[in-house]
Amino acid sequence: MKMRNDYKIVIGLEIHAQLLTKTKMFCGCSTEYSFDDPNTNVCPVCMGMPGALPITNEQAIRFGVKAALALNCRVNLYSRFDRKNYFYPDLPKGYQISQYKYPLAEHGYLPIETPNGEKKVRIRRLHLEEDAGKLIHQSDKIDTAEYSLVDLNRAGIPLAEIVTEPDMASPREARIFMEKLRNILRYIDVCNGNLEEGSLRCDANISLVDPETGRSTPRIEVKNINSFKFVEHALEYEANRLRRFFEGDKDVVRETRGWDSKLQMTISQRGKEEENDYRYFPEPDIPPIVLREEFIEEIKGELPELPDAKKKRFMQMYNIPEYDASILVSSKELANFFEECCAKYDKPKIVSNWIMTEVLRELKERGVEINETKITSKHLVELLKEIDKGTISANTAKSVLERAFETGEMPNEIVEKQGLKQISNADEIRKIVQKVVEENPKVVAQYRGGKTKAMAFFIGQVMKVTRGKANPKMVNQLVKEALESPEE
Amino acid sequence: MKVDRELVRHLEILARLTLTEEEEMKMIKDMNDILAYVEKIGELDLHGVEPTYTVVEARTVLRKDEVRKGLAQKMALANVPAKKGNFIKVSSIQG
Ligand SMILES: [Zn+2]
Repeated sequence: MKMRNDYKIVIGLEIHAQLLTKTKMFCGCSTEYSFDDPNTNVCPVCMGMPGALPITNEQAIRFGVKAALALNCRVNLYSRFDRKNYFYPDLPKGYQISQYKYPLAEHGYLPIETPNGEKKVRIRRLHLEEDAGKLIHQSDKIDTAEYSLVDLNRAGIPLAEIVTEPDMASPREARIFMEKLRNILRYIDVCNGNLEEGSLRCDANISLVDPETGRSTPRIEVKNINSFKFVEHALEYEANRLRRFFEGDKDVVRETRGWDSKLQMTISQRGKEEENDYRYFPEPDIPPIVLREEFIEEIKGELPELPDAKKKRFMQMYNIPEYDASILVSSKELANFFEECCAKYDKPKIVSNWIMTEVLRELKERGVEINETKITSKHLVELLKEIDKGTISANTAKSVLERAFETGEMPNEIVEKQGLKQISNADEIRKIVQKVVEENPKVVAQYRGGKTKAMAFFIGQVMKVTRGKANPKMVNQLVKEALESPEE
Repeated sequence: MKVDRELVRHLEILARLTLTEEEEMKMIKDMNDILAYVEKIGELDLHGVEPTYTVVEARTVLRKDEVRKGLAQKMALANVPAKKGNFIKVSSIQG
């Protein structure tokens, strides 16, 4: 039987974002934690000791409202916390304080650029809750007594849970959405957006629909997606697996599956969560969160320029193509770097070209943001000015930049130290050209016989002699002159 | 609402507990008694009365985002049933 591939893919996401507050959601414990020193930032509240009283962190509410506004949500003036009950060793109280019936915000959307044009992904809700502790499983052997280790430093860290409507029609769209969401959360400084380290987490719901019959597969929840690449890979894998449902595969049932990045497949977590019965009820220890319109307006006023607006401004103000602008705004740090450079160097398109090629390549190789490197806008600007002055060629400049990334030295220093200064002295170059021409009479003859391509050979030879430092424009011109001048 | 064997078994799974048959019977009786007692409140006519979600006055109480020292690690771990290093040790919930 031939596999059909016209099934409609339906994807919704549930994202958890750790908020960048100094203290936990309901207690004054620090949110800084390292697994090397477990159970150090804990107190009776986040350890779930009886009689402890949780008090809501104002900054967490602010960050939640900020994120909600950036995602075009309606912020509810009345919201409330509920207890979500389940037993797990990383949850000391036996329940998680979350928002169920009255979330902080609802009905938002985020426009994303897909290969088929712009599309709005609706946000169903954004609510606040507390993180669980960290659980480390020990020993995978069945014959030894298994146990787990618990660190409660993470327990109680504020989370914003963002739930989308099932509006994404491909794994690619889910990835684009996640990347954009991360970017926005970083722009507004509420979450550092690190999927690998778990400060941003993504669970996905996916199902397939047969457009002819309207029949739908069971819905699968995919967990453990800890990189942007895996958002796409895990969902592609799952979409392919779900197709088998329409061919009568009885193994495709509604369940939770975890992405295994080593095996590059999803694995059933059946049994682990066979019962989802959270018996929510209102958290009696925490009064409702009642917000004033002015409070929300105040936070609206604090919102920085968001990526989409910045992109439009870059296109107009710097007259750069949309493609450039969208890459430059894909990270707040990069966008700032671009603007700092443009303030000191008046050719935005050249700045943009260098950032999009050389700078981004360095950043990717190092896996860092521009502000985490030794490079500042001063470095790039100095480099570009030296190219303009003819002190160095563009090619040399690339290696100078590489070096600057490593050492943080200024381009001029590097040029000086390594003797990379471009040779722009016509007499000096002419001498070298002459020598090369004299040493290769055969090739000269070929050139003069009409094989004009031979010119490249001479240019290459001159560059070789000067170790790439000769001004390429001048070399070009002088080689041409020498070859075309009448024989002496 | 009636508490029966099925419900108690469901709650056992949720609470990750295993009760003996005897304990289950006792649980069924106790919980039914408690519910019967509380159901008395159902006799009141609460038509048009807003549900009470909190007995605390409906006023938002927030805390400034300032770090306060919690428990010293030793204190925090003083009463845990089992430790390994400075971790709390629990029996595995896998499988
Ligand atoms: Zn605490």
